[in-house]
Amino acid sequence: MGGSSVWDGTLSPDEFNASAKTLVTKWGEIDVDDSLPDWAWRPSCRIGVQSETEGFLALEGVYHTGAVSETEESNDLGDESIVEYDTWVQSSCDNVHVYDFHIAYSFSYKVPVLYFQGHQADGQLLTIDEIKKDLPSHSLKILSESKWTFITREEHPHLSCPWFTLHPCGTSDWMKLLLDKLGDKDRSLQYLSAWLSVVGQAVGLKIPLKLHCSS
Amino acid sequence: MAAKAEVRPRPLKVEAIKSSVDMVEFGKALRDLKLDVLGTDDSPIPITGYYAPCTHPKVSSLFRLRRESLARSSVNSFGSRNKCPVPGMLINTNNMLGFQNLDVASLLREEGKKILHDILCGKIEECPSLLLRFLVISFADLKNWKVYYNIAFPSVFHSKMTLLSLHSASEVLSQEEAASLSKSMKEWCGSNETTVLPFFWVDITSDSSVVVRQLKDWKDRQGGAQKLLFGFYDHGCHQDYPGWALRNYVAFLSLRWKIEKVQFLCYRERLGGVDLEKSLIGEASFAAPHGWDGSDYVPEVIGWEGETPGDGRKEMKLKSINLESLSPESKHSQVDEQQLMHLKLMGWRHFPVDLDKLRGTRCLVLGAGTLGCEVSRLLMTWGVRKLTVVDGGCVAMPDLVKQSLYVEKDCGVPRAIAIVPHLKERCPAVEVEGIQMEIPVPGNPVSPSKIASVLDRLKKLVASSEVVFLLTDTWESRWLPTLLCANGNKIAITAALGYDSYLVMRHGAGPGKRCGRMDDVIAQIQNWSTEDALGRQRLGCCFCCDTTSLVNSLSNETVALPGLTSIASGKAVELFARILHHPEGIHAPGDIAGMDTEHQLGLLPHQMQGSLPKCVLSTVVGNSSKNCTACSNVVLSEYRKGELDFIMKAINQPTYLKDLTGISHTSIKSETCLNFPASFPVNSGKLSSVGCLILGAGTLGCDVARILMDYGVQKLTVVDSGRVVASNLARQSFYTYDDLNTPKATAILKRLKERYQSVDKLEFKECIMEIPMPGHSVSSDEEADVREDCEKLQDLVATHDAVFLLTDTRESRWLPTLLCANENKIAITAALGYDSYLAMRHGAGPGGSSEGSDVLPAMTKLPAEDVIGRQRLGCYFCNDVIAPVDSVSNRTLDQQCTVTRPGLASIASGHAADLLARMLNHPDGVHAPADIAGTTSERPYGLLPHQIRGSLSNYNLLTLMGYSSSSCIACSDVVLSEYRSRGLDFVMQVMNEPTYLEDLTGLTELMKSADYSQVEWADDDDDDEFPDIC
Repeated sequence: MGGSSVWDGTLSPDEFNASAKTLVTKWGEIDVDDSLPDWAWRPSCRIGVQSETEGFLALEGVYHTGAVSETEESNDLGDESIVEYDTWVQSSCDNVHVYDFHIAYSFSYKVPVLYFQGHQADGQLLTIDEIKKDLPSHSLKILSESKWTFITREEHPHLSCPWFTLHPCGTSDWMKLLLDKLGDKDRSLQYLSAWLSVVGQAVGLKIPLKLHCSS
Repeated sequence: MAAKAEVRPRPLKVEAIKSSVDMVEFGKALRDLKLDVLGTDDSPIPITGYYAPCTHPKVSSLFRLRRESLARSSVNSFGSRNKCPVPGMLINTNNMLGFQNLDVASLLREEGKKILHDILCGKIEECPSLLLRFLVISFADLKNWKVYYNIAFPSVFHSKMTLLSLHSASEVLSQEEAASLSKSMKEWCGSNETTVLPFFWVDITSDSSVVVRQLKDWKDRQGGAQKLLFGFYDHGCHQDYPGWALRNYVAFLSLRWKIEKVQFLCYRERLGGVDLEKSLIGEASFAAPHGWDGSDYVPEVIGWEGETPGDGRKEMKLKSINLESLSPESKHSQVDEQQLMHLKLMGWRHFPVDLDKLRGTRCLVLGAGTLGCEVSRLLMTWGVRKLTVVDGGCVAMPDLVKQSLYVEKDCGVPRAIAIVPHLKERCPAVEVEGIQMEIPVPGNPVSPSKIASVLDRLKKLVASSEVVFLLTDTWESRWLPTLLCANGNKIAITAALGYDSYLVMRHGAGPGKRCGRMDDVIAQIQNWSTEDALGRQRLGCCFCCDTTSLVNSLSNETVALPGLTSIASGKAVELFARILHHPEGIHAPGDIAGMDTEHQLGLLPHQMQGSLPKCVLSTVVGNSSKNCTACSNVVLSEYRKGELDFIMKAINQPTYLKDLTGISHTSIKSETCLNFPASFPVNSGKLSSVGCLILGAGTLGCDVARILMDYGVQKLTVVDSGRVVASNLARQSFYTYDDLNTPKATAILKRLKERYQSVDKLEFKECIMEIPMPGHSVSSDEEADVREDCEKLQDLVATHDAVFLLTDTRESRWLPTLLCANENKIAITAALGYDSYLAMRHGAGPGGSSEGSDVLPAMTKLPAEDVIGRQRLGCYFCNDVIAPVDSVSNRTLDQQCTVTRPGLASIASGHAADLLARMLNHPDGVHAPADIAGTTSERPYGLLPHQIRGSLSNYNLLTLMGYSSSSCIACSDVVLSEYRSRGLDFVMQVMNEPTYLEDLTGLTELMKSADYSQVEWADDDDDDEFPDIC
């Protein structure tokens, strides 16, 4: 099935968009891990006008609980003696980190790039060290051992402010290995799912295996 | 997991919503909005928040504010259930005081009323998310990169609701019902139209089929459903409590739809679908309070985030966001942004500055000497970020005092190289190139190969720049650049100094073409007209009036009065900014002072000439001369025919240009050129021994200190309480990136010493202290410190000869003014408005005081005259009819940051320092009577005015005179005698009692009797009242 010319592991902007649609649909169909919301396509906005073609994928509001304190229960002790004013309890989201993940297309590398940032519940931006503390050990291992995964802070191409990103320089090489056997069409459709299943590991996103398995 | 089965009704208790403000992005968006759009406007603006149902097993969803929260609502029209846009309102105050003074309780009540109104009028059916309406109050402290805020999610009738039962949905629903509910909800969430609607209703029919409907479909409802559930996205994850949104929903359902017992469904998610274990189904009822449907009924509302439940106390934690970037790489861009803030702030009340244009403009500065240093620095203050500096000389020791950027260790280094780091350390973002090159001068022969290479380079430099500044120290060296600018139709600005007068002018545009034939060079040249490309008469260049034409005068070293450089540079960059903002740019016609202009930036003159001793400033328009040696058509066409040949001839043959243009035959007399009057020697002996006290080390303080040094002052004490921050760097001439966070008084002395290391006579002192100010009341704890500060200041004034009042507020000048009048010291005030400035000397103190051995009788006979029997001149406060009060806390940001046109401080400082020099040279010193411009003076150094007021946009310079007022709050006899008898007790009373001074001086009476005066002065007060800040 493979074309005669050697595929270089990259993706055209149109293929990126098509692949993004596939990912969104697939994500909705399978059972994703506990607490992950949905990926959504976000058209790029320039001067308040939405672009028809350009955009990025967004997975926002991924909650990470370091150690959820069970102290909330103490709020309930006074249940019997509720005064009239006491009509609410505090929300239980201290110690929670909220992550946002975006996938944007890099025109210079012709591959998808993962942008992400994390906030504390009060909105304070997490530093890279704080983020690393949230990552499971296998992610840290990948980050420290793989050549293709180093985290930098770069301007988000659609939001024009700095986000953390996994540098895309090695992406096309390992994508070539991953999808070399597939035909052009399958390749472009499955590209993002396959890519995400690798990249997600590095940043602690639990990507279900099903996503990559061809449906 | 199962919820406790509830049997007993209890008050409805819900889980609060927690907000999460994306610090960097929302904060930055708010900052940009405030700076670029809102300005001083603090009226409420619409804002969007994002609500989501709970998705995590243990964590409630946060209510998020993000960067797009501030975008127009069209951007927020799409979303998903995890990002339901919710309308809110943002009240962003102008200052902390305004923030603290917000009546949070009544604001919340207003929001509650809105919710009730939306419920009653049916708006909720159309836009259900209005039930989640929220309110943000904030103060964006842009100067310190902080945002303080509080959020409220108003919830109405909270105490009137009863929870009748509450169960996990899985306990209530049958398996079939549960399955079809999951399916229907999936469809609901999958549809773009419905996914963003957090409120809905669910029909469960007897055959277990489930339909989820929008609120607006309620009226079409067919009866007969077996079960009816009112569902909403529940952000909370608590098994015992529904989420916050329920209460407003219940209020809506029972008030609007008359539902007595509300069966509700708290929709919570897991794995992208409804989680029936976690979701709750319950029943609640609402007892509407009496009168709720009345038109002015105000419901009870709660909802400020951070209020602790239980005790009912209204104490909210103030939340704050620190916008200061965490990452070092964006630190630099933040510094740059801070440096540009004052330009953005101009747009708040005045003219919006085109920052992008300024940033993109490449300026070629020819000459890195006195004028070159100042102009380059001021261009950075104007937001110019691309500079090319050309100079052929080296830094020399005697130049240090005059050339403001260099320090002693630069001596011997080429100026073009030495200047680069000095500019960079003041503004890291500037892109500056230094080029060492001697510009060839007509009549000063140079080898052909050298001319060729220089010409080639200069041509390229001119071509690649948008604006050229001609600031070399000889007239002749401007000839070649002038020619190139006229040829290339580039904006050229000339500043030149005489001994005590200056000229600042822009060159006219190059010649336009008569018609469009472009075939060959000759044809083009013949088509040149005397008009420019717009068909206007061309304005002249700096050689157009110069008939003496190019005598080699390299030997004449420029000697100019020290303050002159600052004044001329300030005017040159002002001219630059005006041309750049003028719609016609280089083709703009020359304006004359006094003209009306519809242009926002004010007049755009062609030439400005000023003289310090005469205290005049005049604007002149001169058209391009057909005999001009630099820009006339004949010269330009010769140049185009054979560029290098022509230049070579012009430079190597002394009379070539004269013959070519015919100047030698005509004899036009002109007075436009600067005349150099016989100079008088600056009385440096007096100046070097005088001790100067500088109060305030901001923009004015830096410039004044430097100019004083240039005058030869050797004893200098600087008082300031602030520290250097990033926004100071470009404006306050001494400070560099390394000085950040250093106390200003320390930093300024370090810089002064750095420049004059080897001069050991210098006596510099610093004093880090706040000047006590009236209206800033002093608590008993602070009193000892404040008294100490007062004594320190008394001591400083007593031990110095002249005091400069250069602080940033009106009230901080009061105590020094009083002390100077008391001690009969020279006091000089400089103050800045947005585009106007004031430099004045205070009058002498009252005479006949200090001699008396007995204090009391001496006081009672304080005369209105000074010691030599002249009527005393007024002080800074003599015209005022209101005593200074605390003006700091209620200022908006642009007032705090002293938005003035860059360059204005230089001009005011130049005049202020010059005033001191004139006073010291005047035989009567502090007692000298006031001169008015237009009068003549037989003294060699010219007039000594009392006040100089100037306006940049009107191009006028006024000399005013005012006598001391008998009800002045700072220098009148009654104040002085009170001070002499009671000392610091009197001062403390002034600090703490706002009206005391007015009562004492009779101003209170005056105001009562004549309210017109207040109106009259209000305007004036505004003018010189935005002083300089740190």
